[in-house]
Amino acid sequence: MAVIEKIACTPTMGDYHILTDMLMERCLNYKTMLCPPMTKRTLELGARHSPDMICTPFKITLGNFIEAAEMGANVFVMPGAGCRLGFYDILQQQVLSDLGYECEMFPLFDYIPSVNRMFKAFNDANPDLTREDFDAVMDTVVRIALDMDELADFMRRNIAFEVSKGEYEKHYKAYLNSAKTVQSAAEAESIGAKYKEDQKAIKINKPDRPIRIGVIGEIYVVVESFSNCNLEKWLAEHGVEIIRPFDLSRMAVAIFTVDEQIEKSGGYVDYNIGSTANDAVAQAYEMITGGIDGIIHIKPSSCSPEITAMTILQNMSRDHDIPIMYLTFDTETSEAGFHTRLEAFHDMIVMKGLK
Amino acid sequence: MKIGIPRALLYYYHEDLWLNFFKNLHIETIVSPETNKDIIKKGVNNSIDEGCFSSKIFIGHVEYMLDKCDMIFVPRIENSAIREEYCTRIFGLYDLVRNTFPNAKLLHADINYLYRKRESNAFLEIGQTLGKTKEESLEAYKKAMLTANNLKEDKILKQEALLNGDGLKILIFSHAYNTFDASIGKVVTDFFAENNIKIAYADLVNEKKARALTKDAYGNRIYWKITAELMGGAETYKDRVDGIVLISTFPCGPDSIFNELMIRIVKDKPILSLVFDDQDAGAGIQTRLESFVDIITAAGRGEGNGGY
Repeated sequence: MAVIEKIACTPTMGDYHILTDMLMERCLNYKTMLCPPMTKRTLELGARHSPDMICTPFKITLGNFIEAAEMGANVFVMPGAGCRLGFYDILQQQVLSDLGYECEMFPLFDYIPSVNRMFKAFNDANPDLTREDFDAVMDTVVRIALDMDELADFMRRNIAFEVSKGEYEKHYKAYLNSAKTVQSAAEAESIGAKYKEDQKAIKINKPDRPIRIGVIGEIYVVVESFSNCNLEKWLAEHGVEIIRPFDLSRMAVAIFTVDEQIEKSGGYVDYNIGSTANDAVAQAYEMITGGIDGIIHIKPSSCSPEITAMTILQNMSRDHDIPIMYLTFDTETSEAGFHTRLEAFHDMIVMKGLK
Repeated sequence: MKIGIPRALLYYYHEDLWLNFFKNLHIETIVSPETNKDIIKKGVNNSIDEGCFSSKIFIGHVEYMLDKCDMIFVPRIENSAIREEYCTRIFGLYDLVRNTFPNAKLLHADINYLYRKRESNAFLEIGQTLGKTKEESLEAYKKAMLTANNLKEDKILKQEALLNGDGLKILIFSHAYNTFDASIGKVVTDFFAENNIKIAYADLVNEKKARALTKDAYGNRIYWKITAELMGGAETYKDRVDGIVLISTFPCGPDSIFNELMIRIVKDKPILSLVFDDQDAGAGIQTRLESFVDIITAAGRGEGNGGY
């Protein structure tokens, strides 16, 4: 019997697939494949083969997997922990197998995320992998993740004000391209430092006090611009400084620091309310006390932890007189209707400020 | 001192423990009535519209209790052991209620085995809040626990007898708070009872054995307590029933994954999946139940294999 070559694929979520690709290539010697670019077809395929009640990232990532499986991918990377995200891969594997695709799932975790569990997942797939080698790759990956997020955060705050349009994006893409090939954490660090330096040199024309809008919510729709109808692009085009602290680096910390987030929530929450919803509340409180004009809370349809957070955010918004708009994304979200709501929110903030 | 207990969500799992605990401590309790239209309306009006129907019902019961007792019992339960989690909606419930009714007086304690906050400690804490000594509370908890366990064992034995008897039988695969809610599962079970079809419950099963079965099938992956027990219960009973009925509320996180999985993996039994929401679609449910009964009756007589 011929050995089937393993081709690994990570669902599209911002640019974070470069991190898992690096792990799959260097720890397991698997080939990796990018998901085909997301289109309406991705959404339709995903929605057609998903249960109605499931949250949107399941549908979109299933669409990713079906399209990737059509192109030959046969190993799919999933986190395997979190809320119901932890069980995505179990059902997705069943759906893919019912559709006739021979594939395996690669869940990184199986309850509470930890590097040890992650090593176990890789070690099970490749018994020759030593902990030293794995740690070396992990160190590189973590360094890149931190730098990516730092560069992207700086970009979000300034992209609305760049003098020559498109410069930040171009610079960020160039960083990602060079990060893909680095061989060690030290090399990643020096490349990261160089790009951070270059980024500061990009010319901007930023007013002293631009309109500041915070973006909080569920990690997938926050990070994956296709799933949130290019929310941040719209904000940047309308001259808004985007404050969005939530990204992979923050989430990796957030999972383990729920108690700190509860302390930083202004007394609105006493306990863990699930997934990273506590961090959404803490981010909102941090923004409100730090000076913000408005907050947009985004989540996929039926995201249970974020729905709990909404009740709390409503109280916070009322008590502190800061507008918060709640947007839910599903596979049927219409971009036009969504932009109308954004325009209204933006206008409201401008008028509120002029008073 | 009168303690109000909302008849919703985890009440249906811990009814015997909770009521007996307070009874043993000689504390008066009042349980809200069966869910009715008014309670649903109260819940819907006080909830984010996207929340699950079962949690809206809970909120409705809390509002109903606001002026009828001194304190409302809303324990905060994250898990009942490591890898036995409740869904995020359930463990966010205390903060949800507190933010929905900021003036409500809530009686609560935290149960979270990840933080070594055991159930017994939580009940000691509750006893303390109510002015009881540690010994009194511990005694009350232990006695209540024993009563609750015995009652559950009796029910499991009765179900065994029912499954070994004659007649058409169906298995209800649903969270207890949906199965026994007057506006959700009771609509379904009443219908089967009227049609002389016997009803078994997937979660009426030895919890440890059920979880072990789930572990055999899925490894150590399924860390949701209710789901793991339901899956194990279904595995235990499915070959002895004529059909399986999945009951869920919109939009349930655990069910969205595992009810779909059940539909996909159980190939040799008729399955009916019913989802309830606050839109009150009684007639549609009735029609689907009737056609399901026709199918399992025909299959029981050997006409066709019962598939759709």
